[in-house]
Amino acid sequence: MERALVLMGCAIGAGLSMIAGIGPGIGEGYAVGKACEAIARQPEQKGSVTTTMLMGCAIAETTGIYGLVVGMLLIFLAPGMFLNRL
Amino acid sequence: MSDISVSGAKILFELPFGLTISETQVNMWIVMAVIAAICIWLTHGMKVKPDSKRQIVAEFLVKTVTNFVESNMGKRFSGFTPYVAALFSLALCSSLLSLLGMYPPTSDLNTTLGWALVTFVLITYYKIRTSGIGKYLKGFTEPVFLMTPMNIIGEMATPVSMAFRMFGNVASGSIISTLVYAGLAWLNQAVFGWLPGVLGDMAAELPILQLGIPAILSIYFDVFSGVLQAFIFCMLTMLYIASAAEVET
Amino acid sequence: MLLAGTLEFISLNVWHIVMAIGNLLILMLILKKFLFKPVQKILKQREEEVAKIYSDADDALAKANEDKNTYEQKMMSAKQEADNLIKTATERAKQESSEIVAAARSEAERRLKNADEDIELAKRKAADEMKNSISEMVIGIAEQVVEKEIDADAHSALIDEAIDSLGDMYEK
Repeated sequence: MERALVLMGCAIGAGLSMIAGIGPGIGEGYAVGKACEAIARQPEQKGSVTTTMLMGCAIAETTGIYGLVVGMLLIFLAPGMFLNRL
Repeated sequence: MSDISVSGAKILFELPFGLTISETQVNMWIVMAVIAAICIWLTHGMKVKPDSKRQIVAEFLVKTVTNFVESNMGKRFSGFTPYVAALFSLALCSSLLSLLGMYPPTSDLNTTLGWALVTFVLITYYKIRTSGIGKYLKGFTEPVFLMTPMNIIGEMATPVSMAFRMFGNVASGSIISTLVYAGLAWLNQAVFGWLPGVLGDMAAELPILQLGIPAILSIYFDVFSGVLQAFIFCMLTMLYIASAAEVET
Repeated sequence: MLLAGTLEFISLNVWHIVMAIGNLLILMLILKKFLFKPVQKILKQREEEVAKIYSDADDALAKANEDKNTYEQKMMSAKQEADNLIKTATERAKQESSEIVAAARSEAERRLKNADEDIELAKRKAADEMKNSISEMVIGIAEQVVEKEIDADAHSALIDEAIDSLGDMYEK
């Protein structure tokens, strides 16, 4: 029973941790939209705008990646750790 | 359905003192050997007047990397060019290894954390060298003394975020690929298992659905994500180091 | 291959971190030695060669300009010389032609004058001869008329006067 509870908690936690994906999704979409506007305004700056946008997206993605890592920890490491403790 | 397993690198050798050599290291050595072989092949028999495509490719690579580093870091950091080139090529080829079905070294947290630590050490070194160790330590207590823990966490977040970014992208790609592959295998069995008799058994065993869809996924997760993450890792390394070395007014 | 188990999906191992760093640094050295050094050497050599070619070209250009200048100078002096030659030749020709014309004219005048003189001389001679013959004829006629010999010496003055008047009449 405890095992089931631990596993359930870990799985629910992993699922919840992926809520962190919302923020980067919205943020990156906004950034890409702005980048499109910038390219439309100055098509000759396309290269640098794209590079900067990718950099910004990668950094904005960090929080999402943190959520993903927490989720992975909860799935792959946490059950073993907690079950050993029981 | 029950045999889906997502695990880390396999341990291939055990050395004394509890040291282990895992797939990560072996694959990385393979990548390094391939890169070294390509370099030697590209540069052997070079002439002042280029008469082979090899030499043009080699010169193009060197010039591109040099320009890239100099435009992002400035001329005085052109000594970093081999480091950035090594970082980019190793990260890129390691990520692309998963296309061959091998274990990508970049989906091992130890690898990316090691590279990020190199960047962290370089950042700290340049910060101390530009502003002196006293000013560097004093910078942690600004703007007020109470902010010191936050500043330390912020300083540590740089390598951690770099390591986890790359690791997360590559590892999530491999996890999703595994899951999709398993799901397609199940779907395959479910769809073709309805066929009567021996035909159904045979069709269920053949990986028909697994042919196309994982390829598309791997193009995104392995190629696009691998290239992008390798590029971003190098870019962040260069920008962090260059900004650390800037003299603050 | 000795399979001794698998690592956890997320695991930290200091030895592996150190190996990752070491691998990165080794690859950096490999790239530096086998890719960057040779290519940079070649690029430097090419740069030097290009610089040499440029300086050679500059030298050649300077030499060509120099040659051109001397050639132009030579051409200019030759042209001037030719002009001078033509000018002197024309002047000499003009002078000679005028000299020739003048000589011819003086010669012609001289000859005309001679001819006039000859004509005058012949006229006078003819007139003198005519006077003499007329005077002799008149004397003969007068001798016959007066049937006596006129003393030529005594009357010659008278006769000459008569002939002169005759000559004047004839001339008129």
